[in-house]
Amino acid sequence: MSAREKRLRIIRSSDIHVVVMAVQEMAKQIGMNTGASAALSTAVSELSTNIIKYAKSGIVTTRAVRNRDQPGIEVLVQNHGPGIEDIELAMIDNVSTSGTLGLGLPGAKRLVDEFEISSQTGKRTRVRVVKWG
Amino acid sequence: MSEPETPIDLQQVGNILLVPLQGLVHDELMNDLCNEVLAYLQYKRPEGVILNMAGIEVLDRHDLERLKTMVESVALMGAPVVLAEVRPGVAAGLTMLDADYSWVIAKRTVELAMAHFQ
Repeated sequence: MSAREKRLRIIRSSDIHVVVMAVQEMAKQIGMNTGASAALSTAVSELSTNIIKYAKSGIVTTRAVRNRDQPGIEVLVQNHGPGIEDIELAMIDNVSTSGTLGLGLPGAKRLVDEFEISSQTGKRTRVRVVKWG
Repeated sequence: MSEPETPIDLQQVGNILLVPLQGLVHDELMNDLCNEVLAYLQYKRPEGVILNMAGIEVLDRHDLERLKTMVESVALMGAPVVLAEVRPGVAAGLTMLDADYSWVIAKRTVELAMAHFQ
């Protein structure tokens, strides 16, 4: 694994902060602007919290990427939790299936430039986001 | 009653308690902070609390909920809470996340927050 890629395990809530700090550190290293860094960090924090709340554990991989002259960071958030039954429904604002804050997926999507999600009920959820800047 | 220990840097200015928040708002920090502030309120009885958010770079909806729990506990002890110096990235992030911040009283600077209590 290169220095421009980090793979972090999330088991407890304090791990979320390790992930957020890793994103911020990588953003500084690649010269990402502070607004983009804050937006990506917030999205990753939100997605990582879902791991603790719904899947118990997971993996977050951060990778520095480049599009012509523009630096960016790709983050892959994966877990082997219960999965999401209806992704379309989960992508609608203010929808919660558990009476809680919900997954926050629409908000996380708004904070990044690229957002992909796939899930298999009972098996896994995988979210890939990219932020340029 | 003995003065409570305060590992978190609480500072009283006049009748107002200033609480500087640093880093990331995780469960343990908020639990510790809430306990510290509530103990301080009981002991010193300040009239209001200002949470200085300048040191917070990232705040998601779950962090905001933790903050809300603390603010409500403090309010139940009769001390209104004002947030000051929220960073642009935090404000933008919470807006994009469609977070409920309707309960927040926010001022641009600590000085303006102090003036709120005059």
